[in-house]
Amino acid sequence: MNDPHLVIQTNDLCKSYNHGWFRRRSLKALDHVAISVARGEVFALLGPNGAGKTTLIKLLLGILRPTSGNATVLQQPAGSLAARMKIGYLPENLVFPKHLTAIGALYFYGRLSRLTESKMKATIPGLLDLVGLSGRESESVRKYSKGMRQRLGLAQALLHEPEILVLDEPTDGLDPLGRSQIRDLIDTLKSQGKTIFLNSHILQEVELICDRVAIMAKGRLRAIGTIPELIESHSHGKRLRVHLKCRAVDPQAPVTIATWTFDDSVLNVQSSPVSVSADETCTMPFDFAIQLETSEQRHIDQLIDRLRLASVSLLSLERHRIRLEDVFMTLVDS
Amino acid sequence: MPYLAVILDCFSEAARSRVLWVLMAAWTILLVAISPFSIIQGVTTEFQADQILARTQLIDALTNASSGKGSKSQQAVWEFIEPDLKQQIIDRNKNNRGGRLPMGELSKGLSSVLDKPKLYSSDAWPTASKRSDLEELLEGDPEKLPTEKLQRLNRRLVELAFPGMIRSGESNAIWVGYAGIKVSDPLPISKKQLQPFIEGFLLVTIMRVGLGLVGVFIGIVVTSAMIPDMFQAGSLHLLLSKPVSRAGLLIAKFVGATAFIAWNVSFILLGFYLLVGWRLELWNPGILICIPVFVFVFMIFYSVSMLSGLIWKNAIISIAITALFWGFCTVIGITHDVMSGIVTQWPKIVAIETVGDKVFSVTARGRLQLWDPDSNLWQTAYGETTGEETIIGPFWIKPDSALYFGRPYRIPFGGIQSDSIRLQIAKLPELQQNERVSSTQAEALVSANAPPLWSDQRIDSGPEFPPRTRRVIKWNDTLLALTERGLFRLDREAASMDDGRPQVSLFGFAFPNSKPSETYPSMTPSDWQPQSPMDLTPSFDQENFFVYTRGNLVALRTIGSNQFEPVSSLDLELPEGTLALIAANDQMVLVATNKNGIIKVPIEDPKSLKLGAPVAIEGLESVVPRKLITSSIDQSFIVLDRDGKIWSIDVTGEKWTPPRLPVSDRISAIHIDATGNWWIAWGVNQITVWNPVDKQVVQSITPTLSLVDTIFHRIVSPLYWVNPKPAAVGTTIRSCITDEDPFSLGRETSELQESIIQPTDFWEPIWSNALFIGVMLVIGCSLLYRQDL
Repeated sequence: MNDPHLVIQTNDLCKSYNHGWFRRRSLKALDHVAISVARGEVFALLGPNGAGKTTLIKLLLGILRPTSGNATVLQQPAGSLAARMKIGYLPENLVFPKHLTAIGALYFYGRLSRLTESKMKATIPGLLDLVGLSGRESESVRKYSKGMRQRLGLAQALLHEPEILVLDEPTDGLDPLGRSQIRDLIDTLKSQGKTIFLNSHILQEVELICDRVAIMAKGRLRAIGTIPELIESHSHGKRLRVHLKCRAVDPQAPVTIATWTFDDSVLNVQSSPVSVSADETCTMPFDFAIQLETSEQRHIDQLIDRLRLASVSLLSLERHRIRLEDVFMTLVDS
Repeated sequence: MPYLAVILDCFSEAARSRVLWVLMAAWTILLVAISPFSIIQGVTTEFQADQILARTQLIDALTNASSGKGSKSQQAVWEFIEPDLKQQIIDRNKNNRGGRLPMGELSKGLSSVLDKPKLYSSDAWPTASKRSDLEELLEGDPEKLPTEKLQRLNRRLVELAFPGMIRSGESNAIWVGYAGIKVSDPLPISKKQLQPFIEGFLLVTIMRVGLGLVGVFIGIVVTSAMIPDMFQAGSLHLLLSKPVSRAGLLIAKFVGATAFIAWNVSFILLGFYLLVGWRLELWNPGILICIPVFVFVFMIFYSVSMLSGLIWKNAIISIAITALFWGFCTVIGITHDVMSGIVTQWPKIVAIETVGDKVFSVTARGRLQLWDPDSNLWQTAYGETTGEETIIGPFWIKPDSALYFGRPYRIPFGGIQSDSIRLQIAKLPELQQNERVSSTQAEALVSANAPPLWSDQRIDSGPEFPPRTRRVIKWNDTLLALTERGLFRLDREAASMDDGRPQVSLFGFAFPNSKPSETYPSMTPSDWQPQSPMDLTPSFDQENFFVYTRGNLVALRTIGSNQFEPVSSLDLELPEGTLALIAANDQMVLVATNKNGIIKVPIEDPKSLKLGAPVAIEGLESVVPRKLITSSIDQSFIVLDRDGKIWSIDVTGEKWTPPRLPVSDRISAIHIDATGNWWIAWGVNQITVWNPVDKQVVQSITPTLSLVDTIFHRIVSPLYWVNPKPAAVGTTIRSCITDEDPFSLGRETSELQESIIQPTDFWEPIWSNALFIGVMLVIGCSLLYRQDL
């Protein structure tokens, strides 16, 4: 449990909310969640709305207290002052006090993080530059767009040079360029040895930048591991699926192909109606698609052989690959 | 450091409030606008109403002058008087001296003469030029005198024309000025006289209403959003992710809001202090002392606003809850104050008299009551519940089988106050025969509104006490009245002939006869006139008297046939205005003062009544007496002090002890009966009879609680106790500004005895409210700590 390489650990973490008039009704938000995040990792927490992701983050930050189980951050109890000193947090839907300017906000949160004035003075200009807010630091945050507030939020999270960054939807509200910059920034931070714990809905981004992923649904941890591991574990025992684009001259070719059988395979031909000339002697080549789902590779080979024998040209062949989204959907649906 | 950041952030957050800046700007403009106002002090030659000494004579003299009679100087004045006044005087004369001519118009009419350069003529005032005070003014041509000198000359000429009718001399006056220009008529008072009005009313009202109510409410409005704003999800979670404690965060927010209000209040009050000091020359540091007091009042309400914000997370609800809290506190405070007077102050026993097995007591509201053991209630024997003063006495006069008591007489409409005391004589023949009120009657008398026991004419209205009576004591089966004209004895026989009926009646109100009644023959030489404050005690053998009169102790020795002469006088070297009660035994006279503790004055020679050097009794310097009596059993002294404590001083005046009594310290009256038992009134209307020899309780009188008493003690008092009493801080504000001593007593010695025990500590609201704020903060911190956010 006290592996020094693990910066975040949770053990059988449970959290229930009591609600109702007499707070007798209980809602389980986290149900025996156990995760661990190693130092220097980019770790993503995935799950649909209400999965318990934000609850888990709040427990790690000490904003909530667990109903049972425990969590440690940098070998300190989650939520302890020592742990919070080393965490940078970017909340979802961040709201800055309206009376502050950008630089005022950075100084305010810097003081809360117990930074000295000289340290802040040295750090803040570089950070503003890093998040692309240089030159606009004296403006009131009231006038900031959502994307600018997000950048400012990221700057305050980085201000005290934390060991762990907890980012809740960090690219929310950013334009494509901004998203790319955030991805680059995360790569840079990772290269500096920072641990990044992020929560995102954008699976493509997660696939691009994360080392490990945890998928949660209805308060329970459904899967955890690297992306290849997750895909591999979900590919095992699955049937093969190929998608072919073909071209033929014989208008009856799709009909004929549809009658072919390969043991337990399922063959599906999709073609548009072919227009035939009046004398039926002059025919035009036409395209159609074939989809084969089978349990054995030899059936695919046989299909290709027979198509070639039937003078059907193969324009493309695409073998379907299982992606993170499929894994996510499978786990969430289950 | 992190909490300081939160405090500073609160400061800058509140400083962004537009409401605040508009109000601060308005306040600054107001200060600038009123800053040119000032009080201009000067000397006025104008005639003031109070300077006309003989109004009727003056009008008659003017009337004569109008018809060419009277002196030439009076005729000269008449010539220059303004026509309106002339007409009024002529009309009045035609109506055979009927019709009103107010003093104000008379003085104003006379003042119109002052600017006339041709008033003076050597013919009318032939000796004026020889008078030293006018010589200089009459050297040249009066018509060429500057206005100020002309007015002084004419003023003096008018005074000479009507000798004895107008008080001579110019008078001090003040004007309200704006930028140095007089904008009001002269007010015939000095600046010093105006000070109590400005400090006691104007400043206190501005501070209590302007700042205490409006200012605090604005402060609440400006700061109410701080806590709910903190609870915006994206804002709060970020704050809580930082290395700060929740309790620290909440307290820092509270301190930040308070610091902000303190800054604003300081600005407002410092400006106000400088303005009042600069313009009115009243450098009252109390205004600055009020800064923390107001901040404190704000803290009381803000603690409620903060807790509401924590629970409901909405600024509007916070303001509404705070306003409701204010309303609740006000209602409870008013209810408590009103009921406290009715239940605990008015019925408080301030005097006891025992007659055989009957017990009489007098309440603070002047109700004479008789203890009825059958109903276990005090029955009203005689009572005027509308008065605010208690009665004097009662004194049991055995030969008459009657209780004598004095009832202070007050003329309606304030202003003119009469200090007359009407003697009332309650004859008790039935009680002498042990005839009790039947239980049926007693039940009928349970209510305070029930008819008094002696409403069937058993109380006679006797003669008034002599004017300016300051002290009444019982002596040799009659009463003595010490007045500013000497010592007078009630002649009971003559009194029975005098029905005391008022001789003057005006507007339907009966005014007492102000002439000294023949029923009170003087016992002292006519040239001996003691001065207030004063007190009187007979010597222990009842043969002679000692009188305290304005810091002096005077011995009055008998010269036979109820006549006494002052034989020795001792200056006690007490501060001016010291009130004192005196009592004597064979060895000494004890002087219990309100400023210098208790002093013993030895009687060096009982025959010549020579008084020795006064010696203060050590350890009793801070005792302020309410009652001082000599025990007829062992000649020791008993002092009941202002705080309701009893002190026993031995016969030599050397040793004193607070006796171990079986009652609390809230003693309101003490009486020693013929057997030497102490009758001690305590609480509201309870009496414990205590034997000081065997130190045993002989009897206890504990009346049954009425419904009103029960409601007060069981409901109103507990509610008042738990509510934080922010309005009570008003007392603190008043005492800061006016520098009033909450224990200050009256100008007369008798007021020492009549003062109701009300130990008001003006810091008490501070402690109770500080406790409330502390509780609210603890609840708030606990709530924030436990909340799932």
